[in-house]
Amino acid sequence: MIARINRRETIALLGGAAAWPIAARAQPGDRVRRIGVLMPLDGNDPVANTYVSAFAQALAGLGWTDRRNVRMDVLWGGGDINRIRALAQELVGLKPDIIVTAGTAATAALQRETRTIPIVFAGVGDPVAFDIVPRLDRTGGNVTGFASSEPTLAGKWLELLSEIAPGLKRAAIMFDPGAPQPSAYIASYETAARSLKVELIIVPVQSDVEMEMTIIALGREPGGGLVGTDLFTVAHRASIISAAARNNVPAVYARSEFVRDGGLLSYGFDRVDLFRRAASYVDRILRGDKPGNLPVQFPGKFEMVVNLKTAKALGLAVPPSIRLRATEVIE
Amino acid sequence: MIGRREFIAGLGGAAVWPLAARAQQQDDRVRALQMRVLRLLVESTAGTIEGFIREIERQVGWTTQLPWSAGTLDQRRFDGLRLLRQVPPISEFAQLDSSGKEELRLSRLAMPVVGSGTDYSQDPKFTEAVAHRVYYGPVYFRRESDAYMTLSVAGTGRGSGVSVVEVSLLGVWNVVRLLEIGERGVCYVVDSQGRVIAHHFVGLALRNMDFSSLPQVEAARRKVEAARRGTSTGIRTPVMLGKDINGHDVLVAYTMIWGLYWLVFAEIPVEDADSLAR
Repeated sequence: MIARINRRETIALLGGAAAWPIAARAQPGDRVRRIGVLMPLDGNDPVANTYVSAFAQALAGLGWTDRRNVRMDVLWGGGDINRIRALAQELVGLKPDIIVTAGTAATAALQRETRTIPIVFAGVGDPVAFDIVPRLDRTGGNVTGFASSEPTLAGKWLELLSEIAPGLKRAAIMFDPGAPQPSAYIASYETAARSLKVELIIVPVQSDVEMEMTIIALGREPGGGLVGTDLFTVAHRASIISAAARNNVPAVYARSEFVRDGGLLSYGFDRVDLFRRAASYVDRILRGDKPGNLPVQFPGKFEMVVNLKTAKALGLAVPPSIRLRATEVIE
Repeated sequence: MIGRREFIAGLGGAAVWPLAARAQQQDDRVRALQMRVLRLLVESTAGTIEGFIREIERQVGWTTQLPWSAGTLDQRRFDGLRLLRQVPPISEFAQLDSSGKEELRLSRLAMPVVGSGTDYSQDPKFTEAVAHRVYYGPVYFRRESDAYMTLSVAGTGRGSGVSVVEVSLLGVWNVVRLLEIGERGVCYVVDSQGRVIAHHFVGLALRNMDFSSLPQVEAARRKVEAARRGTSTGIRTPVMLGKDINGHDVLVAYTMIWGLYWLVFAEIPVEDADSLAR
C-alpha cells in the first residue's frame, strides 16, 4: 500500500516517464528448492489442510510456487507422538533445504534430528521453556519461527467457561501424558481455579474411551465443564465434541476448529495467520538469511468463536460480554 | 555533493570544465530529485505510522468520556471489551480513577482484575496524561522480541479518570518492512533514545537494537531535543550523508513524529541513489 502510494508520487514527480523497479530485491534462483513440511495432525483433517494451503499461498505470493521453483513434501503425524518422531527422522533423511512444522512436539522431534537444516515453526507454546531456542531475539541455531501462546491464556479459558456456564463447579483439562507438558499452563489454571472457586481436574488421556469416560463423569452432576486442548485432543476432537453434547458438558477450547465442528466456545490466536507469517521466514531463509538471525515472533491476531446452536442445545444463554468479543458467531 | 565531485574527477578534472559544468547542473538536478524522492518516502511513512498511533489514541479516547462517578463498572467493562475487540494492537486496557487508583484491568491474555486499587498516582502514565491529556510511554520489549508501548489518555472533565493501554508495535514494523526504497534502500524507526522500534530487516527490527551512534541518528536526536525544549519548531525532513550499520555511506532522509518523538529514516547506499528514480 505504502509502496504503491510512493510509486505514484514518484512517477508524478518524474512526469510519468520512469517506471518503479518491480521486485528489485534478490530473486529466487532457478534451482528447485525442497521444503519439508511436518504437520502433527492427520492428512484428512480439513483444518490442518487449511493451514498448509494458507502457507503455500503466502509463499507463492513471495515468489515461491509449488512444483515450479519449490517442491513441498508434506508428512502427517496423525496426532500421534511416536509417529511424529518417526516422521521427523524420515523427513530429515530427505535432506530438504528447509523444514516447516507446527507444535512443540513436532518441533522438538525435528530438532533432535538435525542441527543444520533450517526449521521454521508455526506455533510452539513457549520456545524458551521447551529448550527450542535459547533466546527469542537471538535464536542462534537452525530453528526459529512463531510462538503460539501464553500460559496466562489458561486462566482466560477458565474465566470464559465460568462466564458462559454460570454455576461452574468443576473443570477438567485432558492432555496426552506422552507429549511435552507446559507446567506453566497448569500453574495458570490453578491460579484461575482458586480465584473462580472452581475445582480443577487434571486428566491424562490416551484413547477415545478415556476421554469419553472423563466427559461422562463431568456430566453426571451439574456444574461440570471442560477446558483447553492439546495435540491429542485436537486430533480426536470429533469424539470430544460429540461426548460433550451427549453429556451436556460445556467446554471452552483453545482452537477454533472445535467450535466450527460443533464445540461451544474457543479463544486463542489465529493459526492461519501464523502459517501465513511462517511463509515470510521461509522466504527470507531461502533467499539467504540465517534462521539464527530471525527473532521468534508472537501471535498478533486472536479469535473468539462461539457456536449458538451448541449453546442452545446445552440450554445456555450466551452473555453479551462474550457476544461482543466474538470474531465469529456460528448460528 | 559527492556525486558532483566524482563526476568531475571522472571527466579528468578542470580541463573539460564547460562540459563538466553543464553535466554538473544536470547531475545536481538528478541529485535534487533523488533527495526529494527520499523525503517523500520518509514523510509518507511517518504519516502512516503517526496515523496508526493516533487512531489507537482516538479509540481509547472515547472510554474516558464519562466522569468517574457516572457509569457503572459493568459499562466500563463493556467499553474495555469492545475496545479490545475493535483495536487488535491493544493487548491490555486499564482504567484509573481520578486519584490514580486502578479500578479495572482487562487483558487479551489474562483474567480481568476488578478493583485492585493499585496506586499509579505518581506514575507518568497517570501524571503525564492528566497534565497533557495523552501520554506515550517509552518503547519496551515485553519479551525479547515483542515491542510494546504504554499509551494513556485522560478524560477532559474534572473527576474523569485515565485509560491506559498497552500497544503492540508490530503494526509499525508492518509499515516499514513492506516499503521498498530503490534497490537496496531501507526504512527504519527509532525512539528518542535511538533504540530501534522497526526496521526493514526483521533481524534488526525485533531485538531492541541501539542505533544512537549512527551519525544521522545523532544529528536527528539533537533536533528532537531542541524540539522538546521548544527551541526549534521541529524537523523539516533533512537529507544528509550518513552511515549504515556496516559503516557504508548512505544518502538518508529523516523526519520526526510529533508527540511521540520517534524518528523515521529512509536511507539508500550512495552508489545506489540512481535506483530511486529508475
